[in-house]
Amino acid sequence: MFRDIKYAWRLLLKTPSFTGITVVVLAIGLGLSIYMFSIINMLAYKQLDIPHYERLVMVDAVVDGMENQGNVYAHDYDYMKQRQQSFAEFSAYISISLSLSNGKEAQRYEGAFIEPKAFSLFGGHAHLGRTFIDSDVKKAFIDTERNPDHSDVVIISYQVWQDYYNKNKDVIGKTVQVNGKVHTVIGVMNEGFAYPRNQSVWVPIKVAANQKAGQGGWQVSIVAQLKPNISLPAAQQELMTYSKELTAKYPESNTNVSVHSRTLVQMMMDNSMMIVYLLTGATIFIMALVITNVGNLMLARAMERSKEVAIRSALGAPRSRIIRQMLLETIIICLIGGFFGVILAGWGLDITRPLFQTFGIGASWWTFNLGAEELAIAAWIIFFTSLLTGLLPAIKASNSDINRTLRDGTRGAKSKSSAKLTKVLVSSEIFLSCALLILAGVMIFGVNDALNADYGFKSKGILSARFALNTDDYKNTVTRNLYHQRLIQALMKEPGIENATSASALPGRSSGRQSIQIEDMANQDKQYPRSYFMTISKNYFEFLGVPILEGRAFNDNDAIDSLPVVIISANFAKKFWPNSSAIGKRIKTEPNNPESEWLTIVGISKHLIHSQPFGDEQFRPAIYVPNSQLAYQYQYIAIKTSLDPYQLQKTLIDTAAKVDSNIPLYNMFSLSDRLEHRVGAMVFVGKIFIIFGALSLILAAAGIYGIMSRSVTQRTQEFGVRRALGAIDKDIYQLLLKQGLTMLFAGISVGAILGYLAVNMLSGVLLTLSGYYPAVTIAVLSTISVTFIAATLIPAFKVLKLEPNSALRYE
Amino acid sequence: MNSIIELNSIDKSFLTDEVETLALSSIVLTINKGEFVSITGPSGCGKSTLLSLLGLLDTASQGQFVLNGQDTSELSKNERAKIRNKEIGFIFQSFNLISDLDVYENVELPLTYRKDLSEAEIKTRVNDALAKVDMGHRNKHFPSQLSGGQQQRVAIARALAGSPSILLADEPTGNLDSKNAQMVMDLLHALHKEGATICMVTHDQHCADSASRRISLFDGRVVEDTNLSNQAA
Repeated sequence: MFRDIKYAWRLLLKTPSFTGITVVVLAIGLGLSIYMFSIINMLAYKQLDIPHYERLVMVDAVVDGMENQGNVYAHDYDYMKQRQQSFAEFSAYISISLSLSNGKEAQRYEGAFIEPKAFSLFGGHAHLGRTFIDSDVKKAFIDTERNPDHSDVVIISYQVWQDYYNKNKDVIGKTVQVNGKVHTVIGVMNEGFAYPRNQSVWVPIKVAANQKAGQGGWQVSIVAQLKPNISLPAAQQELMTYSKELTAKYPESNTNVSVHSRTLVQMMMDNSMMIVYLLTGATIFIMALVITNVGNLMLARAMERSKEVAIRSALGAPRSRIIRQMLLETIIICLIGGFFGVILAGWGLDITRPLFQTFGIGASWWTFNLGAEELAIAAWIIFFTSLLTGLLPAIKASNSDINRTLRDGTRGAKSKSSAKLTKVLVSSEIFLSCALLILAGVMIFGVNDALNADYGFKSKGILSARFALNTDDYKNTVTRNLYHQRLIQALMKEPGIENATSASALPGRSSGRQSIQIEDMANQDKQYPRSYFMTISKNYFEFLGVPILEGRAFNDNDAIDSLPVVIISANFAKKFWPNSSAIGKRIKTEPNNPESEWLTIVGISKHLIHSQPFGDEQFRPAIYVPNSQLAYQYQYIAIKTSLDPYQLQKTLIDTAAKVDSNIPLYNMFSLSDRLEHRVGAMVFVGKIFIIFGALSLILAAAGIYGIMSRSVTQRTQEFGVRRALGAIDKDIYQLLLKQGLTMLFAGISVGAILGYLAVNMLSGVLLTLSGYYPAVTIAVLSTISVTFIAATLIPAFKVLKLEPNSALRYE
Repeated sequence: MNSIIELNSIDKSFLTDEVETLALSSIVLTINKGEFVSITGPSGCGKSTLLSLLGLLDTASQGQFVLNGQDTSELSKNERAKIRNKEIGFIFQSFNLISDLDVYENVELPLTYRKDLSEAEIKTRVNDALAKVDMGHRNKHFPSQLSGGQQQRVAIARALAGSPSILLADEPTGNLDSKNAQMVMDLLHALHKEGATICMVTHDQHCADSASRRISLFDGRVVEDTNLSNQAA
């Protein structure tokens, strides 16, 4: 064995250019694959360090086909909990932003209201103090309550303990205001514990049994543990049964509402598992290209060595020994390529980490590191690559006719099987690169569209931040609205600030959707229409420069005790009153609640995109009510300036602190950045696809050239014969093109179809892509065809430079 | 004028590793219509190089080569290819059939490079050529399905199909057993009798002597040029 390794090593050193090229191709291919599979694993398949993780299931609602985190009605959760048989535990939590305040300094964190059972399912342990027990919750909450928090204890993460309490060992027993209500710190969790996704403050709750259906109000996420012998699909099926029962019983609230069960890791992907499948497919394609290229290089090398192999066989070497010897060479090359690949992948992950941090998305386990799991993936990829690239050439070379090879009297064209292999290899390279390039091309245009989407307003020069009015000082709409007005007025006095407004959501950022009941209009689908719902300050539209198309904007006369009013978006008006004016009509946002008031439509605004700028989402209608009549705890404050908005960060923070020092501003970004973060994941995927596209073109061009030049060179003698018989150069070029076109057409047709399927799968879900398919496909097919024709004719040109006599004698 | 080939002071040298090797030197030679010339000599004497020049598969370093009254020295690659196609029929030692093409297609090959022949004409010529070598019954076979002798007969048919002015044969029996070799030689003689001009390179003395004229080469020079027609007759 050692002798074989030494021999293989010597052979590799003897051909430095071959070894170099192969190592570079492998390092790039393996590096990209290891990088991609690490990310895919992180996004969808990572094994988290949670006891019985394989049985942990996250159940969330699917509303109108969109998988959301949370969004299960508290009533529905209770309904399923009482009936389900598949789970050993079935418990709820609500993801929510929570502020900690010690009276002097307030900080806001991602947090959760969580049932103690749910908390224990994530399996952390207390670094200090203890975790939750059932008696920590004094009273269960019903979904229409304003605040579900009926407890006076809180658990904080290691990170919060370090940052907010400076690792104070006496933190247990200290009191702190959580969203304005006094709690006692009872525990600090172990380092790294941030479940369900990246929480750092937890307050215990309990969801009351026997809630009323269809109330709206608080919605929950469910975490459950499967019973040992129950599969996830079986459990999902059981939950779907209840979901159908609920739809039948409560069509108005539950039509098009169902549930979805998945792993914790997959939950983070929401509707974006498609991205994972797509990236997986693309990575496999790239790997296939790399394997085809390297396999082809190895095959050429094996064929060159056929005489040596024949001599070895004649001397009595068993076939297995010959295969092993040739495989060793591939394994050594793959190991070297893999080593550099791992370094490349690690570097790639390093530069990706900050990218995701700026997007402000992700879960606590999205670490972008090459850990043990990722290195194991890398080892498998390297192993399979060496097997796939080495085995076929080794078997083929060791299988040739020894006698014939030794006599070496063969003449004429190359063998049929070799010609067939060439056809398969070239067609595969063509279709793989075609499909990838088409997808990459449309992705680039789609991402560009999403980045430059017209949300209906100009985002330049706007700085925005969040705040939460959840202290005892702001218990109702009047006090909250007063705060808004004071903050807006204080900001308007600051130099550099041209305008200021507040709203529960700014365009491009998802806001809550509400079921809407329209007066004197029967429901067509048994289900109330859903619309984005925002509470805004009266100058919201003027601030954004968005025109009111009909009726009026809100004004000072819209007070708490005056007629409840609403502005609707143009497409809402068009949908329900296509032939008449909507002004003066009345709608209601809590359909089943007889106490909720009818809102009179006073204005129709130009349509703004409140969510993703692609797919159906961009056309969803919106309604707006004035903050003076309804103000929630959570709001955005936004200021407008002609300066760089980030120059006014301090002004914004200081002014807010002057108005009320207990209300911290957080999550501060320019509106342009917010819109970019909105499509951040897409931009990332788009960038990946640019790399994929470029790499696949280079690999395919190099691969096709390699294969075609070998194939043409192998036919040197045949061309010599043809030329001796009177073929001119044009005849040979024509022959090659005619034979090549079959491969080209086979490759590009399959590639174009695959590309079409992939584009169709993605379009609408992630981006609007289909429109770009024809143009991109034409461009890609032309590029590939030109590459292919060049790869065919250039080697032929070289061969035809030989005199026919030399061609005939070519070995 | 009865000559098909006229060589005037032909030199051919090769440059290998910066050393110039003279393969042919001051060759002066005329081959007339209807002759069966054998070119013989020891290995490395330049016989195959000479045949390559005669077949326009290579160009001379110096001198003049007139084929059928046309000076070939200044011809372009494509013009030379056209002359090969019309005027010359090749028979190689290793047959050089194209393995992906069947017997019929191999024989048809040189005719497909001509623009002036109709499909029907091509068919007649191919069938006639195959009939001449008695291979008409095997026209759907692939070369790998034929014996060496049969392959060489197909190669001869291919050389004949274009009705060339001259047949150039490079060791046509070199890869064959004695029985098949005799069969091929009989075929060449039969063609010669029908009027074909043949120029054959061989180092088989018996084959060389069966021609009507024998030219011997040594170290790139003609050392003997003997008319054997009386002996052969």
